[in-house]
Amino acid sequence: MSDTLLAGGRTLVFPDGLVGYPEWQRFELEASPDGSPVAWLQGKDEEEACFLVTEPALVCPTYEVDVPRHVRTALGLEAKQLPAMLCMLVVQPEPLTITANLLGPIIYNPDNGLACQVVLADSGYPARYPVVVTDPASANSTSIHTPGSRSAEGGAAC
Amino acid sequence: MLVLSRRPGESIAIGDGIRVTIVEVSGDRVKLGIQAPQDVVILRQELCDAVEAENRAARQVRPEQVGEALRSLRRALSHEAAARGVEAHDRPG
Repeated sequence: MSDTLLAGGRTLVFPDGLVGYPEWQRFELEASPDGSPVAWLQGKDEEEACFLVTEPALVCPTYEVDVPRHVRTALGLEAKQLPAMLCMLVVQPEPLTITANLLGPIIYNPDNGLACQVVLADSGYPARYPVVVTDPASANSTSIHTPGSRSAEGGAAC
Repeated sequence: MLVLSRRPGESIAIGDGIRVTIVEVSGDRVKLGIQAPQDVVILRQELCDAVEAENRAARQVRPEQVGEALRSLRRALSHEAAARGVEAHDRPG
C-alpha cells in the first residue's frame, strides 16, 4: 500500500483547496527521487505550493481516522471503500526536526483523485507529531520517535 | 461582527437548521449546545488555526533543502517499521 500511495504520477484535486488556502486545488503527487518513503505534493497552478507528504500510518502505526459521511460523499467514496491518506511533513533545518501534521490529514479517493484536507475534531492527534527530533543540548544527537511516543502537545499515543 | 446578548437557556438560529444554545455560563467559560445538519463542519477555531499554520510552515519546505532531513526520516521510518515488527513478535494478536 505504501508503494502505491507514494509512487507518484497521480493528480489530486481539492475542490475546497487546503485549509487556509482555498485557491490551491490541483496538485501532482510526485515520488521522492531517492526512494524515501515520502512524496511531493506539487501545486499545478501555483509553484510555491509544494509540500512534503508521507503516509500517516508510517509515522503513527495506530493512526485511525473516522472519515465523516459528508467527506465520503464529497469524495465519491463507495460505502465500504477505504480512502487513501497522506499527512504533510514540516522540516526545520537547525536543529533538524521533522514533524507530521496528524491533525489535518489529506484524504482522497484513489479511484478519482478527489481530495480534501480534513481537520479532525476531538481526535487528540497533534498538528506537530514529532518524527525526527534533534536535541540541541547533546551535540547533533538525533532521536527518533517510536510507536508509543506521546507528543509534546498531548496528542493521542501512536 | 454581529454581537448578541443571551442568557443561559436562550438560543440563536443561523440560517436553516442551525441553532446555538447557551447551555451554561460559569466564570469565563461558556458552554454552547449546537444543533446543525450533519454536513456542517463544527470545529474549535484553534484546531483550524493550527492546521493552517502547519500548512504555512510545510510550504516552506524546499526539495533542495531536505537531503539530510530525508536521510534522517528514512532512518526514522525504518526504525518505526522495525519497532512494529518487534511489537508484533512480542505481542501476537
